Amino acid sequence: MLMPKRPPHRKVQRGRLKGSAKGGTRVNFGDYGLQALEPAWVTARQIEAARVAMTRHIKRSGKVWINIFPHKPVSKKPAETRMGSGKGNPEFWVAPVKPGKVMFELAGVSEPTAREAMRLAGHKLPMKCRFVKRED
Amino acid sequence: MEIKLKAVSRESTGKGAARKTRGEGLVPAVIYGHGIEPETLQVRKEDLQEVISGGAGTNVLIDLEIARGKKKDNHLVMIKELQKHPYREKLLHVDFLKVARDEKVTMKVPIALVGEEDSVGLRAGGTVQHTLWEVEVECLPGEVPDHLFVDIKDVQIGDHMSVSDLRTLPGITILADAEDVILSIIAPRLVAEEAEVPEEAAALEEVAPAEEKPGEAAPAEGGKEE
Repeated sequence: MLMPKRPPHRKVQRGRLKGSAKGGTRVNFGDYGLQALEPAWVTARQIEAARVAMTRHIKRSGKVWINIFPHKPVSKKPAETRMGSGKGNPEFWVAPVKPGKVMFELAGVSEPTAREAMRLAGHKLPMKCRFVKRED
Repeated sequence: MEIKLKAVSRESTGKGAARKTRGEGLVPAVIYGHGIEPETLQVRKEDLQEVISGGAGTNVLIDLEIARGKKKDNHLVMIKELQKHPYREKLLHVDFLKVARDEKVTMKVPIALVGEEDSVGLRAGGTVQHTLWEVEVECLPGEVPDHLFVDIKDVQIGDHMSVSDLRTLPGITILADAEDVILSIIAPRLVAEEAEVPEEAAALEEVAPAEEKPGEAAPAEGGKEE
């Protein structure tokens, strides 16, 4: 699964997801893309699940780009623990995604195949998504 | 051949005024260039949509009629920049660049492929990997092409096409480096698949036990960090 090789900090604050994506809102590398319509944290597992769903559907023809990376560690306190005693342990990694971000891109396949692949990938993600095409 | 578009001069500026303009079904705009003072305008959303929905996209020559009260004047313009909402089908702002018919302009023109059906490389199972989607060209405003074409009929797997392979048109100077790669035909991934399958299977195996025992799998991941 995706995670940083050398994270600068083991634990970080949660932060907020305000507004819409500032960049990466158009299809840049491939012909088709999957765009987020809501803000959410996408975990490394969800990214991997979406990638696997997509590559399986396109039967490994074509090319897939993943434009998001889980840079942010999320910590959690163990179950049935009293409050206090400091921040919990890092549990998983997430990519904070704002609406508008094109998270996955696809090239080298027909449009119906790309649509279905993106639909399957979208079901693995925690937000509403839509299929987008490259603009000329 | 230019497309006609009507615009109205706009006094108010700033985001509040721009939002109000958008609320009325209009798109804030600005005109500048060719020695004129920049002027804020507004155009009807539907009219602008119609102009850019043609095959040429934003590379169209527009005869812009600007109304200032009862006074009207016409300018020959091109779209310099079009701002869109990050994820809604909304046009936010448009920049018009005033041009002269006899003075060359620099524009970005999209690259289109021809011969995809008969391509040797694609028939052998290759995939097109595009690296350059548009090139900067210099030409007269009336001669800006919709697309520049590149023929990939004879391109084999592993070969690439560069800017020098673009079909040139008279009166158009391509400003991009001739050596810049437009696309390459990459080998089908089915060949490399053998190596990839165990990796994917391994990845799935990794996920599967984690789903069963989330409490155990997760700290191990965090532990890697320490």
